Amino acid sequence: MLARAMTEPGDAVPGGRRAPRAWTLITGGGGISDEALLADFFSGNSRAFGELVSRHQRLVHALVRRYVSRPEDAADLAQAAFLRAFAAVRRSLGRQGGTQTGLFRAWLVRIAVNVGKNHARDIGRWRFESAEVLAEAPATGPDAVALLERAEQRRRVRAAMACLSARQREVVTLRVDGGLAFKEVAAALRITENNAKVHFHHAVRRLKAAMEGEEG
Amino acid sequence: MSAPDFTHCAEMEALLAERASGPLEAAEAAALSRHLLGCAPCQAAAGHWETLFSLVALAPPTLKEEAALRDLPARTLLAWRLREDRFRRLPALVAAGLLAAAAVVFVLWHSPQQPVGEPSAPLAVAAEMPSAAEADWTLDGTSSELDEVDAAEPASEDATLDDGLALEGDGAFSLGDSG
Repeated sequence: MLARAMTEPGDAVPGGRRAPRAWTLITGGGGISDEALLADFFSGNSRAFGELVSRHQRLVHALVRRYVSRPEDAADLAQAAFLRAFAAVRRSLGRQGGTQTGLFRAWLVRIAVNVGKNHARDIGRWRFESAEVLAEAPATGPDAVALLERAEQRRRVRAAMACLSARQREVVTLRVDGGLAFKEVAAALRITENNAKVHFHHAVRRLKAAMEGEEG
Repeated sequence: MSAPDFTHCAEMEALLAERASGPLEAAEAAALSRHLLGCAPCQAAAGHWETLFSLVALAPPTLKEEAALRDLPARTLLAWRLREDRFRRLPALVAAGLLAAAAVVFVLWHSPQQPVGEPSAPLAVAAEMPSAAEADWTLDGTSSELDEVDAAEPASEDATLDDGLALEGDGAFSLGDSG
């Protein structure tokens, strides 16, 4: 099994930028695979359920919170995604007698995205993030100009995000919010990996131009 | 110290954006790291991409969200058990519903039938009604026409009916003088 783990980046970077996120691919063997935990759970061990949820809850929560307007809704959507994924796996177990390695995570991501999209469609909202929060920060002191410049950049990027195609926006947010590899992004959106990269690079070119003030 | 290698900068530009947004394949990450060691322009470009994706990213979860996340495994397990319980009871509920429906059908099917030809109560009432020929008025038009007539001719306060009943001003019926 190929499990992915994120090593936390060094946060302290001169200039206030985020440090590059370091990602490592960890091959299974050290830990119990998702599929083994699923089998354990369906044979009656409820602790395996908790372990599975704990293992993926940050990813699922990160994916769905882009689509909610109230923070408490994200946990509800994450819960709904887990329940649907468990039900899907059980149906698969019933039909095929087993699940493919890595299938649970792939299903979970796809289901989380769909749950989020359905919720956003229902409430007619897509979250672009807290430009408002930044704008409300006190613009005084030596960093005031930098803060205002950053707020303006954020506003432009946010506007550019709204102008992207739905597919481009999904690829970018799956990558940024979920930290997914392009292979996983492609699987979640049912497109090819190459297609996912093409959408990504088209999108980020526009976002970069917006950040630099080249686009209105 | 080796000379900076600017020949791959165009290729690296795409990888810089990818690295700033998420994980790279191991081979790509290694190639990019080697390139960045000797290429100051790409180091600067990497910083731009990091800034861009920090603007795209959502703010970190709030304390409230973190608290909800801590509870997520337990509450999801509880929701799963409730759902399982519902599914377990579903066949019994469906069976009970079907039995109830069958019982209703059985009772209706075996209930005593009303003899054919025996007039029912509403028909008897209808037979006592005066025919159109006996009445002072006839309905040869539609009900809307009748409505129009009603609207055009307000009823008199003390209308006397043929059978001796009089409608008095206060709206109460009284028996007329038949003798």
